[in-house]
Amino acid sequence: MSLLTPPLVKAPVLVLAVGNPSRGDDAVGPLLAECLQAWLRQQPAEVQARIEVITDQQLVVEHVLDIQGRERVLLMDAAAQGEQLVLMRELQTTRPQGAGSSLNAPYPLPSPDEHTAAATSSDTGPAPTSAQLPAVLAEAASGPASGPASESAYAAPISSHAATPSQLLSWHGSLLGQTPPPTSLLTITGRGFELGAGLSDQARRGLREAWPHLLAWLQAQPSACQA
Amino acid sequence: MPSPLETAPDPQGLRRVVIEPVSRVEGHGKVTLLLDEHNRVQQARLHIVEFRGFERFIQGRPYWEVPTLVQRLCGICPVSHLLAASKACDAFVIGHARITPTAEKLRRLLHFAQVLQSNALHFFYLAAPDLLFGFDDAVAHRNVIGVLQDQRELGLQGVRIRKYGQEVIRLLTGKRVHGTGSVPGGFNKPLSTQDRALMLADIGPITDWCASAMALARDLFLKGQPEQGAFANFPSMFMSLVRPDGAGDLYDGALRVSDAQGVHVVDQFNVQGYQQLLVEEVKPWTYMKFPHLRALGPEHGWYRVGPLARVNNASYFDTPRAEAAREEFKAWNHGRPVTASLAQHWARLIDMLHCAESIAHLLQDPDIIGTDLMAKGTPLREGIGVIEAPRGTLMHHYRIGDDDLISYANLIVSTTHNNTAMNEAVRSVAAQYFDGRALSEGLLNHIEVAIRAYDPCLSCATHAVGKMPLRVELLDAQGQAVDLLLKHDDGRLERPALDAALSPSNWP
Repeated sequence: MSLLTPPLVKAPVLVLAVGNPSRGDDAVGPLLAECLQAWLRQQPAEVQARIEVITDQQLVVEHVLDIQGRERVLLMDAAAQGEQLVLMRELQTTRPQGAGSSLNAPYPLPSPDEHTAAATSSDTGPAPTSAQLPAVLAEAASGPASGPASESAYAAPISSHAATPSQLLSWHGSLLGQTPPPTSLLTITGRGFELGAGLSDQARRGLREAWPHLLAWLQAQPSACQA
Repeated sequence: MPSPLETAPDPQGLRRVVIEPVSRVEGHGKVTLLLDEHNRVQQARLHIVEFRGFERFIQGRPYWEVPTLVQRLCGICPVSHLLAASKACDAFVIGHARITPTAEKLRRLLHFAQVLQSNALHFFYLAAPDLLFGFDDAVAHRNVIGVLQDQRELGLQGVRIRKYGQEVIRLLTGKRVHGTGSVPGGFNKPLSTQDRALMLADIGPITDWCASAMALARDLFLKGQPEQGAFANFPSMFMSLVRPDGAGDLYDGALRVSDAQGVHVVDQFNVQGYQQLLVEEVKPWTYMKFPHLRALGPEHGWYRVGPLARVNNASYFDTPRAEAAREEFKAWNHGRPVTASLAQHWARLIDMLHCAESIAHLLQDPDIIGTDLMAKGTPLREGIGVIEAPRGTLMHHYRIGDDDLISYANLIVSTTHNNTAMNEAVRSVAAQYFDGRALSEGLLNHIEVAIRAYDPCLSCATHAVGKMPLRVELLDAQGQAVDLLLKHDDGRLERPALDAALSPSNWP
């Protein structure tokens, strides 16, 4: 065994949440992850064994090794701007054909209105009440308001220590020579990302509305939630 | 030394070139170039907008929360803040006493892992594209994907080095992100023999990969002569921590400041008196302060920190391969400090090699699996902690009230120490490459390369920073835009019609 040897057995489902808990609405990813971990603790051991939850402050290149070998992956993060408060999208995991098919092309993100698998908060019916939420989420959803708006998270160029979801999938292909596992992206659009700020009202509402999307994604795959 | 910064006698009469934000560095940045009536670059201003709120963020918190809390300042180097804060907050638990040998060695192990992984990320994913392909290579290719396409094994080694450092951090702090481990007064978790065995299993190849990467960075720099040696090359002082015998030390020591000739202007200066040594100047156009030596003033007292400073300043490194690399580095400039900005990358990988060797050495030390983790002493109400973070000297300074809450906080991060130097690097490059007529892609590329050499740590911003295209404006002496160049996130350049483009609603 070594630190660089992949584990012999990986949970087939990975939920990877990113965000800085001290930067206002950037905390929504880690908060959803906490919520999921609380939910998992109440599930049978067989279910717990099939789902791994990882939280990090931002996506970085070594996450390709976390994604490698999974059946399905869900990324959860704040979006700094967007039409939908909550958006679940399937990401393209095969390299696009044509002019953009070189290795230099990050896998494109589908726009919310062009991807048939996209689900938004309007698809989900009424948001659950706080009573339906795990305690950690109910607590987060009633926290203080936060500061001003920021910008989009998902169109960033290859110009940073941090990766975008599409870059991460592209790196997976380039580094490992393998097609990434089916990967979805769940975002909650935030309003404020200032250091030390709390959650905005919008983000609190987004957390409530994102929870059923998260459960639906997990339960859509029998292997994830059924022993 | 004379500095051409801030020396323009009539800055109101100068033309301005504005570049914002800067790509492939974290967060948001903007560059303003002030030109004289002959269209020569006279002054550079690198605006970094994310360095505010740190101290306010910390004040009022219980001191024992601070080491964990400050990790959230940076997504790339959280452990650097953890350790600097732990060192500062040691005073609130043990006063002037020292932490136990095991606790210090565990902190050092943690720190080496942090610097290792951060330096790997910078070199393989941010610097290598410029160095491998040249500054004028197509932007569509001059990026990490281009590196992976052309040199996949190199990219994989970068990922593995990074992963190794992250795993060591996880084992020592208990979590992948925002763990603890280091706490005021010592360390809160011993290293098990099983975890030590895991770390030992990989450190051999990790060290070899670091040595290979260092050789690559050296060869690329040497192959790029004389251009790379002349690029953003300017005299400055260098500041870093050294031991009493002058050895470079990333975790502890006293301050050494050397000038461009290698003369020690300051040596063995106790970090507890840093406010007697340094003063932080405030300027109206930026949130970033400008630290300089109090005795020499802002014009002559500025300095550089980081890998270049560390390698220039150290009398030796205590690991054999890094020491051999340091000697080679020094010999290249005939024993004098190397002042070329692009030599930072070579120095950064000497740093990385030193970390790998130091990890191997520490893992063989019997103390590393000791269980005496917390020291005792007489608590004080003020503490100062200084370490060498990946980008340079990092200072945390706190005071607490009778309620144990933080009443005063002052942080000087590496990028702030390097503020004047980064401005000088931009000015130097712009003065060399601006043709006096119009903005060009080549100019933008060169300015970005200069900034990336310092790896300014704007990652304290949220990762959700969004698009980072470049917007470049050329303004005449009356403030009227006479040229505009946009650089989109895919590297595409656009020179739109001025009237429409100047509307903020049309900004990318």
